[in-house]
Amino acid sequence: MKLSSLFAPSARRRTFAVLTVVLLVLALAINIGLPYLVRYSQLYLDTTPEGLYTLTDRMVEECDKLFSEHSLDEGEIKMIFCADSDRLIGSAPARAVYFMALQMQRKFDCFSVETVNLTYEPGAVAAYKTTSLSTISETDVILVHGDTYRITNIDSFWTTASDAYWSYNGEYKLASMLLSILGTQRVAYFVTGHEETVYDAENPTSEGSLACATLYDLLTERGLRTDMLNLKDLAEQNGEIPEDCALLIINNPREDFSAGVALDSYYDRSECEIIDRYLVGRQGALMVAKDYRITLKNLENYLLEWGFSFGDTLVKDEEESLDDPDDTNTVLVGQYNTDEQSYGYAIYGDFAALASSPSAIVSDSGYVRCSFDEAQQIREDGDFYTYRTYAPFLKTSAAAKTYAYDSVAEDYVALDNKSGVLDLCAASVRETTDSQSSESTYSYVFAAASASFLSEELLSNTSFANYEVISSLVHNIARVDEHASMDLGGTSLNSSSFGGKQLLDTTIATKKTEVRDSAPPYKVIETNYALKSGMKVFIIILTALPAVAALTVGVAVAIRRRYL
Amino acid sequence: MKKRIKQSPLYRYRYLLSVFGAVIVLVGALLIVRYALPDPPPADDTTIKYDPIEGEGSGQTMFPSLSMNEIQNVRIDRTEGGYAIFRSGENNEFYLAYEDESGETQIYYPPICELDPSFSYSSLFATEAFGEVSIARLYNLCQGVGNIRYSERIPLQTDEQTRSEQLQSFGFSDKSVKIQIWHTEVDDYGRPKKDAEMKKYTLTLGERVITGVGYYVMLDGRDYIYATATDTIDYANKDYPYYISTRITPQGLPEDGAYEPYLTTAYKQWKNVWYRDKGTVVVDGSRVTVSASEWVPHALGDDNPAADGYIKDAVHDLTFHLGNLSGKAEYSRLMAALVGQRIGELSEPMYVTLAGDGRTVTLADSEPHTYRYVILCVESALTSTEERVDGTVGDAASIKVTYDLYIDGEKENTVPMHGMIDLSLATVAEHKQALSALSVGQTLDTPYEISILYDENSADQKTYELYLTEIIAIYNQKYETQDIVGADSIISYHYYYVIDGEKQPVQSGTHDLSKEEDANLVKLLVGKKKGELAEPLRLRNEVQYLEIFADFITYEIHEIDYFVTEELMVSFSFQNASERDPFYAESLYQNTLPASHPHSIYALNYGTCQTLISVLGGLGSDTTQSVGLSGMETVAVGLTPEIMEKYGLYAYTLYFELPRGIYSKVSMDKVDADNGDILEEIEEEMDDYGWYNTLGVKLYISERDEKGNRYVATDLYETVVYIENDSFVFLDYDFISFWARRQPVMVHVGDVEKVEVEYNMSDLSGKLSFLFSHEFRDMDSGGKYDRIIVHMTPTDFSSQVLADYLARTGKDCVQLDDYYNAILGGGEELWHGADYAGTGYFKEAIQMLYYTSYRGILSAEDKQAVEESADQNGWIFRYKITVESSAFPYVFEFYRLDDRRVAVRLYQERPDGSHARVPVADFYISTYAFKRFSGAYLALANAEAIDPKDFGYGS
Repeated sequence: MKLSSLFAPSARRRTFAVLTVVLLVLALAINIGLPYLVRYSQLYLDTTPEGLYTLTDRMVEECDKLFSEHSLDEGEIKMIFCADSDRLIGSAPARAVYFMALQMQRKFDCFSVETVNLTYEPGAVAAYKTTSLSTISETDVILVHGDTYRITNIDSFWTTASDAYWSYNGEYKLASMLLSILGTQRVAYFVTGHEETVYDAENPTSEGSLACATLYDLLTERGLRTDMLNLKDLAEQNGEIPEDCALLIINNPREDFSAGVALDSYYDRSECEIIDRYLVGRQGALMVAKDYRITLKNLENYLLEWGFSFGDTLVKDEEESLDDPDDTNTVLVGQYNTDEQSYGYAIYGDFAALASSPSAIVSDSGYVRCSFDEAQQIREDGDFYTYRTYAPFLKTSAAAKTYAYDSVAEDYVALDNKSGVLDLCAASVRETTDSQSSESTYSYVFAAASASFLSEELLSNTSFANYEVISSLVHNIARVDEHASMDLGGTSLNSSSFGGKQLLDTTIATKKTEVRDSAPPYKVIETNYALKSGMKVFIIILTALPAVAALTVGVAVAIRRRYL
Repeated sequence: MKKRIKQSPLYRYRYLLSVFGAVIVLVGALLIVRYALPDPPPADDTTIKYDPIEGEGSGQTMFPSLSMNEIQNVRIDRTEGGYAIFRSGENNEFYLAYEDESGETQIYYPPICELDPSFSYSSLFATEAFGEVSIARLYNLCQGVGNIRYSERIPLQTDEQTRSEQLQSFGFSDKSVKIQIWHTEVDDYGRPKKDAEMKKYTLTLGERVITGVGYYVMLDGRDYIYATATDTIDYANKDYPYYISTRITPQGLPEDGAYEPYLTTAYKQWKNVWYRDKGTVVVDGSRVTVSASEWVPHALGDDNPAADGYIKDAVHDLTFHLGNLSGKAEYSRLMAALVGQRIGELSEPMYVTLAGDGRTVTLADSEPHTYRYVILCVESALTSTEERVDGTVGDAASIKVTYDLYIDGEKENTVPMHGMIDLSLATVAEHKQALSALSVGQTLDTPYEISILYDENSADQKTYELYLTEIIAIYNQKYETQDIVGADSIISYHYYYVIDGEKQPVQSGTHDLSKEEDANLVKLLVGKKKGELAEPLRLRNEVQYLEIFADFITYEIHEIDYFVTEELMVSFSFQNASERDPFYAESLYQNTLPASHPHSIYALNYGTCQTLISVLGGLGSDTTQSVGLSGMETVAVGLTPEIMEKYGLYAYTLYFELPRGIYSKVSMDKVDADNGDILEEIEEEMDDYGWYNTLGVKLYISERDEKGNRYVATDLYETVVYIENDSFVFLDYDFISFWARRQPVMVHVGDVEKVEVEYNMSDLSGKLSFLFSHEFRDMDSGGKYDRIIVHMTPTDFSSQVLADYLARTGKDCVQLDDYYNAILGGGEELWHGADYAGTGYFKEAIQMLYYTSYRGILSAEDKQAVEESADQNGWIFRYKITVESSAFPYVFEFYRLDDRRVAVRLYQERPDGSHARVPVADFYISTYAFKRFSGAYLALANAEAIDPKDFGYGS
């Protein structure tokens, strides 16, 4: 078309020329704007037979019920994707999750979706890092409600078998995360009644509060409110640990627990029983720092049930200890467990993997030993589905020796010349698997044989890794995960929607397809992570349609002009 | 005209110059070649080349090299521990012999050679790695002494004095090691040629050559001292055990690998204490070692009998295991003689005589023979506890006499005969009074005569009955498997004897029926199938006729050396499924400690037993084939008391049995026990294993040495082996902490008949009895299922729900299913799992205890506190379980020790309430566990659901 056509004498010709321009501009605008329409106005057709891109009625009902139980402001729940939207759409596994989130945003005012480009905004999700060395990847998804959040990976919204996607379980996963973050605000309780060192929020200048100031900061930073709990009073009332408890802290007790308990009573609850009811009845967490010098028979017998056997001797380590004026070798450099499968590594692996790791210091410490069998695991009494597993956390070097107190010499003397690796602190994890839903829930006990393990001196020293390591530990053990109705897609055979949206043809959705060279060493020459074309949504057709239409019109006009 | 050319003056020397030039060129070329080539090895000016003298071999060897086949015997004579290897047997294989402490030569032929039919003697040889193969050290010895290359040959001085000094300077003395090598010519197959002469080299070993390589050696008949060029002869300096394998336990048979070789038929472990202080009193049950000599009488017809008619040996160490002899009447005198004695030399020898087998008399087919015994002397009179050599016979139970024997008037003996007469025998009844009057310990003034005409009526009889229990395998003469026994079949079978009505242990054997002369026995077996008989079949019934005299052995004891007490720590064996006590039936291994043992009531930790058997059987991690256990080094051969003492082998004793020829059992047809007629045909695979026989090994183990390792003596191989402690770490653990199963109860609910629980707490008391009935009902899919119906009867139990229900139904007990349907189901039928709710929840309650583990071991103070509390009936909960086919119910009493610990006391109870097995209280459980499973029964009383995942603290 010539520019002069716009000024042609023929009105018909001028009109046609203007119309052509308008159509072209419109086609261009639709071309540019359609993806946004698709993205935010759900302007697309879900052609997948499984309904991968459609919220189920059951999910909507579940969320309706859940959100109505909480008075939530607009956008109070935020789902953050750590990649740009075009990348999310470009990846088939991410696309299903992303579109699910967009539908949630459209249906529920309290739910909002954000995408963050980690490259350009690395600090945008820094608040959700467990430790300063933790990493967040582009495939991570963060669900946030106030101070509570859960991080998970795109892949966790899918169930896989033999490296292939088998079903889309995203609704169940998202509902479970929503349940978890919408729980009541969690509290870390300092147990009192046994001369413990505790933080008193009402008296922040008390001696105990000053000694726990950094610990208090740490707990607050992890989204926990702090309070005190007198177990003795609770035992007298046959009470139980408050519902909002996410973490119990027994910090340097000087008196034994459960003193004076009625041994011939069936119904009376001792202090240890109250703790135990909390730990085995719910997803409880307990953190104990005990002075090795003091024998607390009942508490120690109780912790023995969790795999902790306390020694009453002092540990010295000539090889891995900090210099101190008296050269005591008792300021121990805790050795990280570098086994990537270990519990400890899961907590502090970011540090342990460093060539020059910041040190976690344990001072004036005894040791703990696993009271379970060689496998460091036992099946819980009376139950086939529950296990307790002991996991060393920080250890000494192989040069460590134990020293017993000699009351005559008034000093600690070497027991023998044997040296070996000792556990300075350890965690015990209780995992119970629901026989119906196959979901596992966890309780944790962490114990250190040192009165100063949670001390201000160690936690506030920024040259040590103590703060980071314990912060990560608290984050791990103080979380309470809820599980949505398994009918939303639990992986239990008892679920009416087993596995969520099962892919009708699992071969069409390969998680990871590797094409290898035909000759040795059979190098991978191509890796395909995307769903196959048959699974793609109609969006491509919609996006291409205006351009095709414009082209068709253009061709039609040209032919008409020349031949008709 | 020829022009004369003027010649050079050298022209005339042209030929000489040509030769000179050629020489220069040649030398130059040679020099170039010389320097171009690598340097040749320097001439060894220090090596003296000797021309061989007569008898020497080529290549500067002391004698022509001997091949392995040519060497027949090698004997190493040393001041201590000489030994020899010699060829013997059909295959002309090497065998070993050694000198024991007393200097006597013993052939190393340990019990394993006889006990294991699949045994190969060469497996006893220690081996050394040589590249990728292992070579027996014995062959290295043969190679070392049969092929000696020398570097120096030094003539011996002719002067006696100088020669003696020369020999001394080269390290030759009376104590030098002597090596004798017998050899002979062999054929192409390596076998000694017929009529070939056996020749011998005798070598004497001097000092090591000062250069550090080689030895000075002399060969008998040569006036030279040789310095050997290598150290290979050093093998002759090794101690004898160096050549013995370090194997401790035998390997399994290859075919057993297809089964489970950890099916040990016996494992026992003792902790010992060794007493050797003089004056210590010997205690019953101990192993006593004495210095004694043994006397046994010559048998009639012995060649060169001693003049006094006795075979006596020198005084040596003898060990008696009083624990094994206890309760056996025939050993009562020995027991009485040793128990209570003090360690040390006896003021005068003590004589102890033990009766042996009765001497048999053959009844002639024609006429009976008259035996006339002329008793010359009563040597001693014996009661059950003493042996007297003075006074008269009196009321002694038996006498030991010297006599002459006449058969049909002919004197049979050339030297005095000795024998024992049991005075209670009917045959001597008529002589008893006269015998009682005879003097003891002196020659009789008038010999006493006894004449007996032996026939079926007058001779004492001993009956032998042979019973067949199982036919393991049937073969034809080509050793092909058969299904049915034929007249010419070869059968492997299990059998036992009944001797004079007393059943003997079951044994195994193989029998070729084609060679059997007893037609009746063949007839009984023909037509039988492989398998185990429901009832044993008597194959043979024989009678032996006995003289009035029996053999005997007399111990002349001079000194009590020491004794060892043994405490049985562990005893278990594999039990076939059909033979297990249901109370312990979940484990392959059954505790076989005697009922009187304080730990006999505990089940065993299955994993511990299996691990141990894997170690002793030498099971690899990736194979089920047992390869046996081996140590690092064999240090001694022969299990003499001296060796036991030297290596401290009295610390622990261990007995382990390995089954051989394992197979799956099948049931055999029911047959008539007497005539073998098939009563009922059965063809049924059993869930049991059988084995042809078992191979038992007893190990004597030391405490750990400073390196943490141990010495282990093995009776099958008669060796002492040094072994790393890893294999025997279990010796450091006691029964409770290591062997006992950590679950109080694990019995299949199908075997339970009754459960009674009783609460005895300040806020909860009363008793609940649960009586089971089993109804086997047809399933739609075929087969049957066990429909368990539980009736609950409360006694003084406070449950309002239960009380109301009982009042409403007007009964004193409830059927649990009905109860749950009524209370929890509101009248609707309720299910829990595959059962009705009542039964289902009851199973949950039972399982609560199954899944409960002992959490710790009680201290001595705790145990005492429990016992004191038991005296006061201080238990808080009592759990009594009656198991099908167990003699008495098992009772668990629970005592709360403190906040978190509840002690468990266990015993078996008779109907009158007394203890059938001594109560034990070694463990505690957690309060949590206690409240869970005791709360489960509380829930049953109130018809509440029991879901293990959220059930706790009585919910």
